[in-house]
Amino acid sequence: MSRFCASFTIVNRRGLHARAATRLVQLASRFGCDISVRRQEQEANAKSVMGVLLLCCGPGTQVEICARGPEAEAAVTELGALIEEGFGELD
Amino acid sequence: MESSTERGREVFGGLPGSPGVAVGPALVLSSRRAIVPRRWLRRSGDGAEELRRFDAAVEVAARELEAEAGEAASTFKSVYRLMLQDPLLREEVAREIEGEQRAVEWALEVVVARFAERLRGSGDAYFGERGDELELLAERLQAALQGEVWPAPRASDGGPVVLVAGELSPAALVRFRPGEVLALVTRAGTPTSHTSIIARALGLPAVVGVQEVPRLARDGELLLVDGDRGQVVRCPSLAEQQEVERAAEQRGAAVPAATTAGGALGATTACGVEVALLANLDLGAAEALDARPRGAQGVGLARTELLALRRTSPPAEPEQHATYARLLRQWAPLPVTLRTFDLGGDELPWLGGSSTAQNPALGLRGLRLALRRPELLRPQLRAALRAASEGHLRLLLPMVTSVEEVRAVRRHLSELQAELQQEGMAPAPLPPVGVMVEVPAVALLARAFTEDVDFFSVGTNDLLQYLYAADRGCPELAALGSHYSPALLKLVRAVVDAARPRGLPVSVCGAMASDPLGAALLVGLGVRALSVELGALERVRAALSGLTLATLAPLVAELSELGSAEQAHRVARARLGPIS
Repeated sequence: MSRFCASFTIVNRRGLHARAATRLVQLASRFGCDISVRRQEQEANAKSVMGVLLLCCGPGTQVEICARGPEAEAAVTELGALIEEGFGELD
Repeated sequence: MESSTERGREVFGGLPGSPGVAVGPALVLSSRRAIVPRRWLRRSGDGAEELRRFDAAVEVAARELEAEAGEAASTFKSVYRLMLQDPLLREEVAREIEGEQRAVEWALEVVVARFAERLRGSGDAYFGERGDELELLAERLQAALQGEVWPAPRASDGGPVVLVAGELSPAALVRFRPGEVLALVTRAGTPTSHTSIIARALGLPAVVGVQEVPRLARDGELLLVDGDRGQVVRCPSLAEQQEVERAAEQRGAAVPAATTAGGALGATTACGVEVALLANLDLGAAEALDARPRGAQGVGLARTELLALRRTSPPAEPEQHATYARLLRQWAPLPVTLRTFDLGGDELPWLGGSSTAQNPALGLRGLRLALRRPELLRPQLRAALRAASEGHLRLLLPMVTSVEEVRAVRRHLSELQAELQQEGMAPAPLPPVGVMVEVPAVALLARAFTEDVDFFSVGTNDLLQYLYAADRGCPELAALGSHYSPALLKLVRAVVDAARPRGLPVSVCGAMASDPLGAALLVGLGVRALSVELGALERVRAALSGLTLATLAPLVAELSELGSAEQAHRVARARLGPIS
């Protein structure tokens, strides 16, 4: 099955905080594929807000998004766009 | 000790968190840690049922959250909903249940503690705050598991209040409906912190960074919160109150209620009665030996079961000795009450225990089992005797039914002491030996026990279970386990009365002692030592400091004559106000 991965940098001021994580999880949950977020050696299910929060990604952190299954490529692209536009919170 | 104090006007400085001025009675929020029951699964097949309870609790909590939150909090709602229904949380809880054989309450506690620690360990204060919120959400789940609606603290008259807290997260504020809160005062925070942002969103005056929190106010004391200047006035003058009203009128705002200084002022401190606050500990749990908590005057109950459970062989004497010695040293010279194993035969495969008893709670457990299994009891007693010289040891026997059982333990102790002397050791004098009062017969016959015991410790949880013939593990019967039971009050009184002529100490170590309102009733009954869960120490202390025996003694006499725990609880709450 196809698997897509891409790396992104957290650019919003607070990092991958509660509301940002919520938006990430909500978006990820719209896709039927398995999606993970990895920060260094730690990996989390992108559909788990606890998992994403527990990565404790502050601003400037590099994360890798990987998706496997239907629409994997679209999922990575859309999630990447959300991260790069700072979850719509950039001043 | 001081008899009573009426505190006067005083001004406290802080930082302006959110503009506006308001006056109202204080409601002091202490950290409300629920007392989480820590049980192992009875049978390994029970895991599926425990997980089902978890799912049901999540559903209840999510529904409650949906129903109660005010508009301004709605932005946080989706975060909390996702956290409650999080797949990782469920997965980890399931692992604790199936893998570690913990019942769901304990499994949840363990997982949440782990998550919160990781968030706090990130070193980023922002993620640390999420840990606090997760713990609050977990409390909500624990309440749902115990079939309770998650309690939001309220002013005694139900009117709007000024919230005073160390810190206020959105999760804590979400419990209040619009109009229930007049203003916020916190110790933590800056003008740009979360509390301030929320306060501004809600249009509530707030003063943050007030170092005197929570001492600055007791529940019901009038506070003037000036969010423009960043100051708080306790017991403001009438002129100051009127000024707030005038300012509000000029702004065209409605004047918040509760501007009369009335009877709420002049709360009194405790009546000069000394109540010892002791700690409950689980030996074998990671935190038990970490630190001696501030404010505890000893250990009223050191449970030892964790040392024996989940092993393939009985815990050896040297291992037990090391644990007990360390505990005693850590607390010396304060007393440490070590309870011998309170286990049921079915929990210990290495004992060959294939107890098929239908009612384990009524079967061979506690001292009943230990006296039949010297290989369990004697190494423990020997380890304790060897450790006794390290500090102030007291021995507590669980699930005692008769004086003969106590005498049998004393015989073991004398034999072991002689053994130690023969081996060339010079053990400390034999420690005091006390019994748990869990079986109603013991409470009723307490006077007969006074010949053979040195102290009593009332375990309200089991005493209630046996008194009401209601299994503690049966959620449908949870209401029968209420420690406001008038029958329980009578039994505690019987023990206190029996012990008094001989001057024997009576302590209480069940959940009742960790509940501020329950603790107050116990003091009214004449109990002068409470052994409480660590998280409840400060809460219980704060509650007792505001009460007088002159109130409590007649109150418990009255409650003892009522027909139900529910009724007694209602009367107690109405009479003592929101101390719990």
